Amino acid sequence: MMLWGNHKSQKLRGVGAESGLLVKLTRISCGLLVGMILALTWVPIRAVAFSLLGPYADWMDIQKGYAQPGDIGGPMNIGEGYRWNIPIITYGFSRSFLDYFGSNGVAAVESAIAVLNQLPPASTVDPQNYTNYAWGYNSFPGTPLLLDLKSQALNTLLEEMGLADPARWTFCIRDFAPAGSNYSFYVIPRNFDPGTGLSSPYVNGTLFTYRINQYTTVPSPGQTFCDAFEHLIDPLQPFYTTATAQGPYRYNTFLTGLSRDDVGGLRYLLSGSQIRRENLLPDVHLVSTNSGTLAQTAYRPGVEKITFIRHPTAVASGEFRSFTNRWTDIYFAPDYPAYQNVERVTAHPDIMFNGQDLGVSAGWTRTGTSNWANNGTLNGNPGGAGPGVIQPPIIITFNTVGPFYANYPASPPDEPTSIKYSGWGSFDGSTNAPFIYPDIGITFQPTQVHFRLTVGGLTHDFMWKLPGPPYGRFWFQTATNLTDWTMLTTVTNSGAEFDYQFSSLPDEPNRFFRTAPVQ
Amino acid sequence: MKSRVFFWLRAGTTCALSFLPIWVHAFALLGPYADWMDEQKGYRRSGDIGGPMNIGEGYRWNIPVITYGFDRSFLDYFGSNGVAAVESAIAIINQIPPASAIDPHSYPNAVWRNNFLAQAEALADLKSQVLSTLLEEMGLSDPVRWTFCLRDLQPSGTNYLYYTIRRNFDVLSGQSSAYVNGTLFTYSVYQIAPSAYDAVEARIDPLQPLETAATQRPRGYGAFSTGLSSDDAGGLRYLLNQSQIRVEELLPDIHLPGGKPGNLIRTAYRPGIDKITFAFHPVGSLSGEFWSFTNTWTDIYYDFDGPALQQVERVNTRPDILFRGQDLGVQFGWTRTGATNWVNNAGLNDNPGGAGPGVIQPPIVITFNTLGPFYMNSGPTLDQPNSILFSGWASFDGTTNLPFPYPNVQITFQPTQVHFQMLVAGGTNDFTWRLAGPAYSRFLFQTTTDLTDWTILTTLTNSGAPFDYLFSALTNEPARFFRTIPTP
Repeated sequence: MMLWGNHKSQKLRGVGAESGLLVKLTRISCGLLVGMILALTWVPIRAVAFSLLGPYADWMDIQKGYAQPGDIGGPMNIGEGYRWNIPIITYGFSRSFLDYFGSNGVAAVESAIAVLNQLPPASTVDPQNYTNYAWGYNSFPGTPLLLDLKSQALNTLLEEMGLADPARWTFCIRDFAPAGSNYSFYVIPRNFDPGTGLSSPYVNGTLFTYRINQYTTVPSPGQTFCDAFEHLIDPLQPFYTTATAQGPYRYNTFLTGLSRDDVGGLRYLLSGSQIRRENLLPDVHLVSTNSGTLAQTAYRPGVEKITFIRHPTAVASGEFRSFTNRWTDIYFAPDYPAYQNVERVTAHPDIMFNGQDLGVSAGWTRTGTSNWANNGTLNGNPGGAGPGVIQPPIIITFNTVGPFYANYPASPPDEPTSIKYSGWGSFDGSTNAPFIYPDIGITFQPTQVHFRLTVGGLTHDFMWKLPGPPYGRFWFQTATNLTDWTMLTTVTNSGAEFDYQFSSLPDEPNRFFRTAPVQ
Repeated sequence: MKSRVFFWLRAGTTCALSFLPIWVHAFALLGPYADWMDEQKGYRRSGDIGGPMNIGEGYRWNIPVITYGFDRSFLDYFGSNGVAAVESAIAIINQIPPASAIDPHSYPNAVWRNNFLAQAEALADLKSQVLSTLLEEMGLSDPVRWTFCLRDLQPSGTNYLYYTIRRNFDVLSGQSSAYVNGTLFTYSVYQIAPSAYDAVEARIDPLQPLETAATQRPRGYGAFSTGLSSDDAGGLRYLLNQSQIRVEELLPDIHLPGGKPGNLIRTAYRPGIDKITFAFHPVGSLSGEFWSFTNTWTDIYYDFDGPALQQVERVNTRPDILFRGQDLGVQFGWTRTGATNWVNNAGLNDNPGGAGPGVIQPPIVITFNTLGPFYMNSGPTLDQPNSILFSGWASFDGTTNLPFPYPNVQITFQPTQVHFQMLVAGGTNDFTWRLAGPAYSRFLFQTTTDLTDWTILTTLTNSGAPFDYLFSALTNEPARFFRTIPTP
């Protein structure tokens, strides 16, 4: 049993299988060595590649190793990728997320989002500026089995931007057919070089081969019959290198950022060179001051740059407020670029981070690709798997079940022999101890008043906390005689900081300030 | 006496062989299946789109200009290199002179070559396949496949009696022939499936080439055609020749030029069109959307006893031949629309119930598989080293250049490069920079002398196309600044 995360979806990998392959490769490599050295000397090798995620094509069924538990889509061919076509994506946190993960959880998710926001426009991205290996390991002594919240948020956001795990889809089964008493298998690569778009057996410099596992003697609907498992050609190279990796075991590992392949994939998807016939999202319309008709369906270049913005909320309740985003939509009409000022008013975030007790099988879930719009027909590819447009809303739910113990059959069913899964944490490669969730503000933190008084060109800073019930209202008052108080403003004890500046007259003998509960 | 006659006859035959040119060239014609062309006799096999026509029953185009275009799915996968490959195949056909001026002797006997690097990498040549498929869509078929074919079979005791016909025709006489581009064929009837038979061609001289005509489908990877063979040119010469007069209807979308009075003569005896030109269907240069295309020409028909002329025009909004890309799975490298919508004019030509002659009608869609490379494993060891690789489409030739495999995807957008030339006091100063902003966004090109009051020189779009600007500065200016900034 695999715990936490979509581990079941992973192709089961065995060291034995790889070592068996190694025997054959050793034999082959002797003969090829000289030729390979020459080739390596003269030909620049592109050894990075990415995979694209989209809704399952008709032929991507469970029998061929697709649609496994935890999967949300299948690997798309080059030219059939799915992408966003709005420049601003909003995100937000549900009350259940805030209640469990608190401000530290928000900070962890936002640090993942910052990684994406820091990406330059696609046409200026140089994958060579990014690392070949995006994972690190936290080796703080005594750290329990923890999953890094930031890393999982980044990993899932990349999925929701249309990227898949390239190590998973370097090779995949396209078809099988009876051949005598056996079966013939047809294997396709779905991992693409970010420079040429050609399929590639490399992921971030790691070279893969495959071996087909046949699970049953005959195929049966709804049952996995076969899968093409990736294996390392060089067992010393890392298997999981990309931020999109859906590795089976990611405890105490964390993402340091994006790898070359991740960046190469985003560059391809968002590039202005990738022109597709697309619909605008249904809630996009012309700005209210514009007259005319919205060009809803048109050829459009990639948006080049996507920025994630936190959806505005009410400070205290966290309820989402309406958010309006305006931008200039570029489309082709039909021989020249055309422009229309559009706006989108959303009442809820496009991506919602949620907390929920998901039991002990999954560490997180996310909405699938089934509502992504397949524009195959619009792009002369009727019946094709893509290309298409990613559509909100997206909900990413992290398990709030908390730590739990697993007792496996081979050992006594007691705590000492159990394996403890501690759930979510936030950690990195430093010597800081991991922060373990939940992050609950047990006590209310009252509003801190930061008052700056300017007198005769000098400034004086004063700070104090509002002494009163949470969310109670206070008057902020001033007086020169401690009797006749003048109202400056009212303050709510919401926990948010309150800043106020006052310039006093230089000839005043005294001036007093106070915050008092509203009577 | 008898032996002497024989001796002289033999000498005479030898002389004739020495002095007369031997025609060993022939072609096959493609058309919709006749009723008797069924699976049992080896027709309608997977990948076929029609059957072999008899001489006089061929199908041809009767418009002088055929438009072609590329769907977004083709462009997305094959890119500009794929377009160039298709257009180089089309150029071969466009370079053919009018049928009456074609000399098949001017064409080689064999057009297939091998690129061994492409063969090793299991690559198929896109241009060659386009050429072969276009020839099919012009009414020609693989002459080797149809040199011999089964016309009928009847039970005879425990066996069958097979009747074999030839559907490969001499380019000069129209007689059926056993030669294809100089290679002599014979046949053997085989049972190719539990209830299917075929007359399978075999070379008399195994050292002669099997694949010679561009209409043939190359067997194996790495093969590419260099152009048209004698037989291909001979077939087109026959089909399009003005000597071939048929009763035909004009295509339904042909009419008299706008506003012109008179009645269109739609059904009439017509000579071959003599020359067909493929023209790129106009599109929006950015979106690739097809525009309306009007073609006007003089239609020649026979008004009882003499030729008559009428000006006609055809307005089409979509190309006659559309090249597409699609994931076709692992069975087919390409597909194309069949001959089912070709118009059989047998009844009009006193051949009721016959297989032809007829007219080829658009639209035609030629789809190339965009599946990409794949591996085939058929056991016992199911891994990559023991697989067979099928690499898919590429472009290559007989040079030592590396094959160019598809897809051809331009991953990154190349922003517009501004090339600014400033003239000051007779001297020129060149500056180049790239627009830093989203693809296809608008920029202002401005100038100032004080970095405060900017004057707009022009606006430009970051379309990727280079932008040139020349500015002559006054000699007495202490300073002048220029900038490109996104349109607010």
